[in-house]
Amino acid sequence: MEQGQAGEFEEFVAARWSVLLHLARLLVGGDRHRAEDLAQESLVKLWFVWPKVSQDAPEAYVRKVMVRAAARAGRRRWWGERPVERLPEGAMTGDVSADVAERSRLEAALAQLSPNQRAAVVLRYYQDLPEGQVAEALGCPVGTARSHASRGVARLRQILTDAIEPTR
Amino acid sequence: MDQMDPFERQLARLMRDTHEPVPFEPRHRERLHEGVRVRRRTRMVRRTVGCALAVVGVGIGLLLVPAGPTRVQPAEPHPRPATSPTSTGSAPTPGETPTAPPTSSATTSLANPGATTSDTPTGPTTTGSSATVTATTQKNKGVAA
Repeated sequence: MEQGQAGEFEEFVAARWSVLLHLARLLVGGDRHRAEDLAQESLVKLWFVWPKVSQDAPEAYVRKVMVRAAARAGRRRWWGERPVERLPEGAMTGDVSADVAERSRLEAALAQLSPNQRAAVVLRYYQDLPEGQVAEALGCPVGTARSHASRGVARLRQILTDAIEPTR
Repeated sequence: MDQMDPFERQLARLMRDTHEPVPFEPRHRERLHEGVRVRRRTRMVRRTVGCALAVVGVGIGLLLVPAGPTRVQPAEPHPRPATSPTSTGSAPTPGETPTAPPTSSATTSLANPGATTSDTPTGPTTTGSSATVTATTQKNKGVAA
């Protein structure tokens, strides 16, 4: 890659790192280290195609790479994730802020979804993507993506109803 | 996204609100560059191994090919088409010899049942195969008659 393009790549990464890392964290269900690995691997792949995609939609490319890598890793279950009957209580007591507790609960709930459901829900509600783009990122038909999203939301609704009730 | 119910709206808000800004630190940059270097090396190794395997494959293929050049030589002249001046209705060409070897007469007769016996210059007294030739030619005569 030329020097100018490398500079553009660095600028893009510096500008979008925070968003991409948060996306990765939601996609993996909250594990910060795995999220960083996922973001880094996706950006490395982006580096090699940067001259081709830099003018079009580099973020869409990273998002697609990230979603598919997360789904693959989720199918392998190499980190030993297992669904549980009840959410773990966690260590959010005492002086931990409500924001952190809320995030932790959200991530724990997301971790209970299947990788495809999680990706569909995150792309739909965090990235605000239309169904067509969600399907493209997942590499499946629109109907399948819609089904993943609706089932994921139904499951989250079941898990999180208490957690996101508006506080009075 | 317009038909979101309150839960979905809160879910979207929750996902966005839990985003905490994380700066792209030098350690992230270092790790990214290291990842690029490793991947570049991996691609180069993979490409080199691929080329080596291709060369080995071609070498094995060349070894399996017979050493000398293959020449295609006819073992004997091709049988000429059994044509006769009378059957084709045309005059004999000056280059053609009217006589043929006795061995080829049987082939000629068998190959072309329509040929008449008057065209074959060999007599019936040559070999054992001449009986067949005679029988065939007589049969052909009967058909022609």
